[in-house]
Amino acid sequence: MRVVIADDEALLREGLSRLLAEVGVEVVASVGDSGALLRRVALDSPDVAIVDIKMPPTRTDEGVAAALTIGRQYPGVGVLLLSHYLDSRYAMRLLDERSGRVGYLLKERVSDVRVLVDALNRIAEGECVLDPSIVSRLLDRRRRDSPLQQLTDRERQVLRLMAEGRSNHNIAATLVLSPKTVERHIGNIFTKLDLAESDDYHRRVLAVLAVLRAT
Amino acid sequence: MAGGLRLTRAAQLVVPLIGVLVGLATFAIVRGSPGYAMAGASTFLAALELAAGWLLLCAATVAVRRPARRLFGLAVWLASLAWFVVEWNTPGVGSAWAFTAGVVFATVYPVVVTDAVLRYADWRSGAVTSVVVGGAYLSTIGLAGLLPALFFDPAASGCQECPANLLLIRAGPQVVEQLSRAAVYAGVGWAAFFIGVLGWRLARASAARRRAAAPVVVPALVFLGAVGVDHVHSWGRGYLGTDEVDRRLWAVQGSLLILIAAGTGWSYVRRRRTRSAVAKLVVDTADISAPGGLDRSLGAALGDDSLRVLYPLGDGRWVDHAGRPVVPDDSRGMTRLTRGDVPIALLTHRRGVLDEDGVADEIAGAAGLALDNGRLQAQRRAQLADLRASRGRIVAAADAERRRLERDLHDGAQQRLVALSLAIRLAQLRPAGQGDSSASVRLDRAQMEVTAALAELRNVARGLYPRELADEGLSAALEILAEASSIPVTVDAPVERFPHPVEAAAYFAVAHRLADTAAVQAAVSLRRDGDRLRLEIEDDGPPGDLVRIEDRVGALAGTLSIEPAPGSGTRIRVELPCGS
Repeated sequence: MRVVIADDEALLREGLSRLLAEVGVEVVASVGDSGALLRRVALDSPDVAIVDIKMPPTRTDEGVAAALTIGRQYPGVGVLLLSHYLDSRYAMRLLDERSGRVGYLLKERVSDVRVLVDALNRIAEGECVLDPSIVSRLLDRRRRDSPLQQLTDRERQVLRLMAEGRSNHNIAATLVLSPKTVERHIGNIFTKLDLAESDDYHRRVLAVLAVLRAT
Repeated sequence: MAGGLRLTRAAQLVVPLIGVLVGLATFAIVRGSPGYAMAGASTFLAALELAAGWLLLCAATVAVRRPARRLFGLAVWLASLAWFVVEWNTPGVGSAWAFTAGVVFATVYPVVVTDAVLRYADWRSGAVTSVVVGGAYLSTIGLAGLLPALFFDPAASGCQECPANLLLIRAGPQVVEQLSRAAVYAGVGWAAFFIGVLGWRLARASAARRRAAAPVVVPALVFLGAVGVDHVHSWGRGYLGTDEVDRRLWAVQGSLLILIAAGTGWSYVRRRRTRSAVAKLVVDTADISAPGGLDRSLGAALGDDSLRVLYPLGDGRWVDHAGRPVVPDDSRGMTRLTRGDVPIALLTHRRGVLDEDGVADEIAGAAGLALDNGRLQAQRRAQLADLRASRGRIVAAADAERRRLERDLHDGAQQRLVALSLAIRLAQLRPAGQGDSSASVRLDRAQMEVTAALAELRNVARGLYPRELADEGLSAALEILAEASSIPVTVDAPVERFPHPVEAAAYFAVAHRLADTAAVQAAVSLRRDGDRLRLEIEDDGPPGDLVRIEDRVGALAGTLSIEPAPGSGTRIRVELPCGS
């Protein structure tokens, strides 16, 4: 696994590089702005770029723009965006405009090596990654008259993992269920939420998120 | 200027009395020697003469009562005397003193009348005009009066019955003839000049000014025409005589003097009408108490819809009735109303509307109460606006500070905490001593603390000033606020940017309400309505304490209203001015 880190905070670049090195991830470059990021991506062809959403000059959402550019120019390079904000709209925008190989995590997740490496691996394999906190906030807010209320607890668990961008295989492993059972749960969820079933993994994530945000 | 000419009450009685007596005496003189007198031909002419003189006397008596008109009044009074004196250089006068006065002043009346008319219209001030008026006095009193009187022997020139000329030095008919001729020539000149000046100034005057001056100036023009024609008629003869043409022209002049006197009376009536219209304002309090009511009432009284009353704030600024600052517009007419020397209001109006002198004083007097009321209200509103602006600035400054703090938290504290948590994690990966499990547990606990601190910090920062409110606007911020809310909230808001203070006020109104309410669900809707932003928050909780919302809304001159909503809930309506 080869990654590039883009963050304007030197302290964080340093810590993250060392941490990743410890767990066997090769950090081929670490840079402080999106211009340098795009150059390093072109030069080094990493598996994933870890990008802070706020970078110079405006320190608002340069990272999102860089992620989209990378998606267009180097579709094989995944992007993991880091943000201090729990903002589902950024996530939606990313998922909308990139078909897979993208993730959105809260910045503090980087210290959880397992989560971080899991996210990098999944992105490298072409999946999407959405921070569990964002999914929780969407899933757990109180609702009235929502089809989500008809789901069983197990179905909610499956839905949560789907929203985090996990594949059927991954869900089955996480919940210790057979792939067949997971598929049955997903079928039920789609029926209850009145969603058209789709074999396209990416579209499935988007559809689930849209339902969570809209209801 | 008229202040120095104070007339005592006695003088105000004596002056008209002298005029009445002079008129009666003149009437007697005319009856005594009808052959020599201008008005001798008929009783009608004698009555015309008397009417002209006495009407001028009336006009003078009315005018001298008003300080601003005092000089004009005196000029008219002198004109009426000069008009009568014409008849005194005749045998019927009886007294040598009066006869001599008649000889000296016989031809001066047109000049005095013109002088009075110029004063009436306030056109006396021009340098050339002053010189010509002075010259005309010199010509009529000197050339045609005093100088020939030194050489004029009435008996030698064929008037045996005439009283003696007290100024006679020695008889010199040729000198008299030459002086009189020169005076006639000069008379053609000054008459033409006066016609020109009056006509030109009348044509150049503003409409209102022309309306005020015309009743006096127009008959004066015709009068001067008759005077000029008489002088031209006398050109060959060399003196102003009493032939048939002279008498007819004199009768025309008398008729016009009556019109001139009536003209001054007409302007007096007009002033009275204005005054009563203005005085009506005081009674019209119901109308005046409405916003801008005094502007409308005064405008109606003076016939100018565009009239505005401005009030002083005392610091050099002027405000309108609503307390809005106004910079007086030089291109419009402006009249300052004062009490004592203190300005109480400034009227802006069409040019010429308030040209007539004294009207401003009358307004200040008659509408004094209403003006005071208007001034106090305007000042209060201006203070209110100042206060509101200051509140707005305080809130804006606080918001800017909140945004700065929010950024500082994210860019500073939060980054450092993340770095710290990374450091802890690194320490965990390479424990100091092999198998030191208690150190690992302690590091785990530290890691949890840092994670909790980060989550708390994020909430604090969001509460200070949500990033998306500044970057993306109200609808994005409300959407995320609803997403993070502990109760279900529906949001209906247009994706549109509003001024920062308005967005912040609306956002925090919703945020405060969602934080404070005991409701289990809420609905927020937002829409622009012209230059207002309308926000509605409906939930199923009781009203509770809304002071924090009120403060923000009030600082922007917005309104807040509360009404019950279905299910013992509350509907909060907020309206904020947001420009267009």
